[in-house]
Amino acid sequence: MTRRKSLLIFAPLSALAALVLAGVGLSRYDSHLLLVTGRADIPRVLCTHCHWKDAPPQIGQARDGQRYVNPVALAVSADGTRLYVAASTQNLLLEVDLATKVVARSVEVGSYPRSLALSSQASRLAVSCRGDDEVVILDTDTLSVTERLKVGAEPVGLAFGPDAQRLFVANSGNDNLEAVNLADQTARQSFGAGQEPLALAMSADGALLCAVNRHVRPARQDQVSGAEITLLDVGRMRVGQRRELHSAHLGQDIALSSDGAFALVPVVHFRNQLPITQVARGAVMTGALAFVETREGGKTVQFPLDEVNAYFADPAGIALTPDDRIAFVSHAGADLVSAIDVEVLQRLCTKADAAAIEAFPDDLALSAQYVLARIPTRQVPEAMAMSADGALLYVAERLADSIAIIDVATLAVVDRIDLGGARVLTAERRGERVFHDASATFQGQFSCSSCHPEGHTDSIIWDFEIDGVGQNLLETRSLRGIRDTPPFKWNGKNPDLHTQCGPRFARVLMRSEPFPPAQLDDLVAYIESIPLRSRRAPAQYAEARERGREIFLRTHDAQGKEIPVASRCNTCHRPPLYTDLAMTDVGTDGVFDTPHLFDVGASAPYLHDGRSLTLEEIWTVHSPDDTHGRTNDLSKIELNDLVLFLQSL
Amino acid sequence: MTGIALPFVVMPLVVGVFSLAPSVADRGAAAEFEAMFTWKTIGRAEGLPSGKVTAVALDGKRVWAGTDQGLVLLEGEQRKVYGTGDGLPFAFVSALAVDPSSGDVWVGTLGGLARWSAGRIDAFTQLDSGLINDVVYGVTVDQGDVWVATAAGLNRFDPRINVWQSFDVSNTLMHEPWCYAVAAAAGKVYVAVWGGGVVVRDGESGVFREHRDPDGEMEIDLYRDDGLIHDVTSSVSVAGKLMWVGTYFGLSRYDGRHWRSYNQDDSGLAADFINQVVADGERVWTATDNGLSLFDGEQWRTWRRLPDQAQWEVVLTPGDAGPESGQRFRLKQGPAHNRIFAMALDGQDVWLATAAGLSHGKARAGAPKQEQLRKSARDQGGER
Repeated sequence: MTRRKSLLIFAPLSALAALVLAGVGLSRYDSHLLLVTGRADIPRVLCTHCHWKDAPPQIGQARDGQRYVNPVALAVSADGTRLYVAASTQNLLLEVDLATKVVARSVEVGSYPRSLALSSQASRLAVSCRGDDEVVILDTDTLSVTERLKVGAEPVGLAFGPDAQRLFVANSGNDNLEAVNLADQTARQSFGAGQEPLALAMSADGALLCAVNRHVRPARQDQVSGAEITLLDVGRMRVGQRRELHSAHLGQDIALSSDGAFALVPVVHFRNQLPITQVARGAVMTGALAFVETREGGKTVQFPLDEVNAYFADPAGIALTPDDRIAFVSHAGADLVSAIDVEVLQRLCTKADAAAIEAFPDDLALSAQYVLARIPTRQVPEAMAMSADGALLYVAERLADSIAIIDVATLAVVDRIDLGGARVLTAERRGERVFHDASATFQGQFSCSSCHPEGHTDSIIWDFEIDGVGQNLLETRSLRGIRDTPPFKWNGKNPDLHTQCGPRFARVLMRSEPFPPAQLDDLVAYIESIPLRSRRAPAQYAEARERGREIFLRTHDAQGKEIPVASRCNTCHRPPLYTDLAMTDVGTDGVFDTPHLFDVGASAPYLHDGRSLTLEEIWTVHSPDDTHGRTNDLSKIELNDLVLFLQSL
Repeated sequence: MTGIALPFVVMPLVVGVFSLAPSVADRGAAAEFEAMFTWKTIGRAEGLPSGKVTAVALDGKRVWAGTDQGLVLLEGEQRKVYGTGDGLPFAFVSALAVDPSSGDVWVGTLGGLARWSAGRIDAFTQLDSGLINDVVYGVTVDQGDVWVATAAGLNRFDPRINVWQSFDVSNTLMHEPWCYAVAAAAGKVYVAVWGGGVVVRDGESGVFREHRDPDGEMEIDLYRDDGLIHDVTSSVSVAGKLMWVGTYFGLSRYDGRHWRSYNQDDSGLAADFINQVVADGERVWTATDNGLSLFDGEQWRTWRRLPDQAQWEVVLTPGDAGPESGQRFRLKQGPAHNRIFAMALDGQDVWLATAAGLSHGKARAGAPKQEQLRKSARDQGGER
C-alpha cells in the first residue's frame, strides 16, 4: 500500500474517530455539567472555570514549593531535653533538641497536625491530625508512628487518661468529646462539648477532664450566649458540669491547676448587644481570662486582660507554672505574652459576689492588680508549653515559624528556636500576618481574626448600626472560599475585597486609618487563599444525601408543577460556587447578597441577621410563602434530605 | 440504665418487690412478706411538680421522672425540677431514655424532644430540627443513635454528626404514622405503630418488615394466636428471641415462629389496656390502666390498689388458667395508683410512673426467690 493510499484510508478514519471522541467527550462534559449544576441552560465553559487553574497557593505554602511550619502545638518531654512541635502546614511532627535548639528529628504524621498530648510516662505522644480525622500515636524513643486511630471529624484537643489506656479527643467538627479505649478501640464514648471544642486539660490525678470550646451556643438575636467549659468526671465517665462563659467565646486553650481546683481559659468577652461601631468606647470586645472553680457550684469569673485604653487582642494560649503561681497568656493579635499573678486572681475570686462577677469583665483597671508583665514576641504567639521544672516557657510564634523561650524568673525572652520552613514571605503569608494583627484597629482592640477565627465566622449576630441608634443586625459571614463570590457584604455594596477591607471599613469598624495599599493587597491575597473545609458526609447517609441533591436541583415540585426558575434552589445558589453573585429578596426585609453554601452546615446562625438558628428554620419559619425558594411542598423527610445535602457541602 | 422504652436487661427472680400484707386467712405468712420489702411513693409533697408521673428512667443512682408538669431528677433526697423555663420545649413529659454511654437523658414531650446533659437542656422541635413531629411518644438510644417515636412518624437522630432521618408511611411499611413506642435490641429497632402493628427495622440492611393483626378486626380477636392480637399497639419490648407487644386490646408474645396472645378475660393479665410492656428473658412486666402484671410463663402476678385506697391485692393466676382461678392476697402497701404509665427496673427494685405519683418498690436483702414465694402463696391458700 502506498503512502498516499494509506493516507486516504486512515485520514478519514482518524477524523471519524476524532469526531466520535469529541462527541463522547462533549456528552460526558454535558452530563457532568448537568450533574453538578442541575441546569441545562448553562453555556459550556472551560474546565478551569470551576477547577481553579489559578487557584491560590494553600495556606502555609510558599511559591517556591516550600512550606511554612506554622507551629500550632507544643509539648515538652518530661526530662526537659526535647520539645515536640506540631508543624501544621508541613504535616510533620518536629522534635527539637533543647540543648542545641535545633530540629533533631521529624516525622510525617498526617494532614494538619493540630494538637499534642504526652502520656504520663512520656513514652507515647498523641498527635491529632485535623485534616484526616485521625489521631496518630508515636513512640517517643523512635519517633515512629505506632498507631493510627480513626476518630470523629476534625479532631483537635487531646489528653491521655490517668493510666494512658484511654485517650480523650475533642472532635471540633462534631462538637463532641470522644473517649477511646486504647486497649479496645471499639469501646468509645461520646459527650457533647459545646460548639467546636478545641482544647482539653486533664487534672494531675486523672479525675477531672476539662474541655473548652470556641463558639457560643446558638442564640436568638435578643439573647446573649457564651462558650462552655465542659467538666467530665473521669471516674464516672459522665459530664459533671457545663459552665457557660457568659458573653465570652473563642476559647482555644485551657490549663488546670496542679490540684485541679481551678481552670484558666483565655477568652474574648464580647458585647454584641451594643453597636459594633462603639469601638472608640472600648465596648465591642475585650480579652479576658476565665477563672473557673471546678468544684460543684464553684464560681466562674472573667478577669479582663486589657487595660484602660490599651488592648491586647486575641488571647489564645495558656500555660501555668507547676506551683500555680504564674499564668501566661499569649495574645495572637498583639504579639506578646501576658504574665498573670494567679494568687491575686484567687483572692479576687474568693471575694467576688454576683455583682462583682458581672462587673469584672468591664473593669479594665482591674488588670493592673494581677498583670505582672507583657512580654513581646514575634508574630502571632499562640500555643505554649512549660518545662517540667517551671523554669522555661516555650511560645510558638506561629507566623514567624519560631519558638520563643521565656525565662519564668525574669519574665523575658532569653532565646529563640528557628524551626526553618520557607523563608520567602508570599503575599498570602504577609496578608495572614495582617489578618491577625490588631494594631490596625483602634487601640488594638481586635483583629480580622477576632470575628473570623480561622477565616470562618464567629457565629455572633452583631449590631452594625452606624450612628449607634436603632439596630442593624448582621450575622458574621465566613471568609472561607469567598474568592470568586463578589459582591461582598450582606448589602452587596462592595464589588471586590479591596473595597470590602478598604477605607470605609476602617473608618466605620476599625475606627482607625485604613490599611496601607501594600498591606491591603496582601490581606486580600490571604483572604482569597482561605481554604474550604472538606465536609465528609458519612457513607451510611449517601442515599439520603443524593436525594437531597436531587431536591436541590429539582425543576418540578411535588405536584409535578414546574417551579419558576427564580424559585429553584440552584438559581440563586448556582453550582459550582453555590451563589449567583447577585442580590436576592428572600422575604427577610430587604435585598441581600446571595452567600455561597460551602461549610454552611458549620455556619449557623443563618440569613443576613441570624434570625434562623438552624438550616431547618430557614424554611419552616422564615419562608412561609416560599419566598426562600419553593419548599413548602416538601415533606419533613424531604426537607431532612435537603438539609443533609447542604451539610455535606 | 433503663429508659421506659428500653428492653430491660436485669429482672429480679422475685415476685415480692411489694410488701405483701397478710391475707385474711394467714397473718403469719404475710408478716414474712412485710419484712422483706418496702414500698414508697413520691408525689407532690415529696418535691414532684405534679402527681401525674408519665415516664421514668434510671441512670445508676439517678432516677428521672417525667410528669405532666416537667422533668424531675431525683438523687437520694435531692430533687431538681426542670420546666419550660429551663429549656424544656413543653411541660408534659411523655418519654425518657438515658444514653448509657454518656448519661445524657433524652426527653420526649408533647411539644418536642429535649436532651438533658449535665444540667443543660437542648430542645429540638419540628421547626428548628429534623424532628418529624413535636408530639413525641417514645424515645430510645441505640449505640449512640436516638430513635424517636412521634405522632407523625419515626426519627433517627445521630447527635454526634447532627444528622436526622425520618420514616413514615411514605418510605416504610408503616400503615399509620402514629408511632407510640420504640425499642432497640440486637441491631434492630422495633416500633409500635398505633393502628399499624409493629414495624421492625433491620439496622444492617435498613429494611423494614411489619407484624400486623392477621384478622384485621378492631373489635375482636377472630382467630386466637394467629398473629399480633391487635393493630393498635402501644408498646414493644424485646429480650433474646422474645418480642412482647402491648396493645390497647391485650398482650402478644412472639418467639420468632409462634404468636401467643393474652387478654384480661382469659389470663391473669391486669387489663387489656396496656401502657407499657417490659421484657426480660422469659418474663414480662405489663403496666396497664388497671394494675401491674408480671408473667413468667407459668404464673401471673397482678397487683392492684383496691377501691378503698387503703389496701392492695396481689392475684396469683396459673399461666394456663383464666382470671377465675386467681388467688387473692390483701396487702398493706403497693403502687400509688392502678393507672401505670411506665416503669423501670433496677436490680430487684421497681419504679412505677403512676397517675398518683412515682412509686418505688424496694427489695430488701434476703427477698424470697420465686419458688419460695410461690410455695408461700400455696401454703397460704389465698383468698378466692
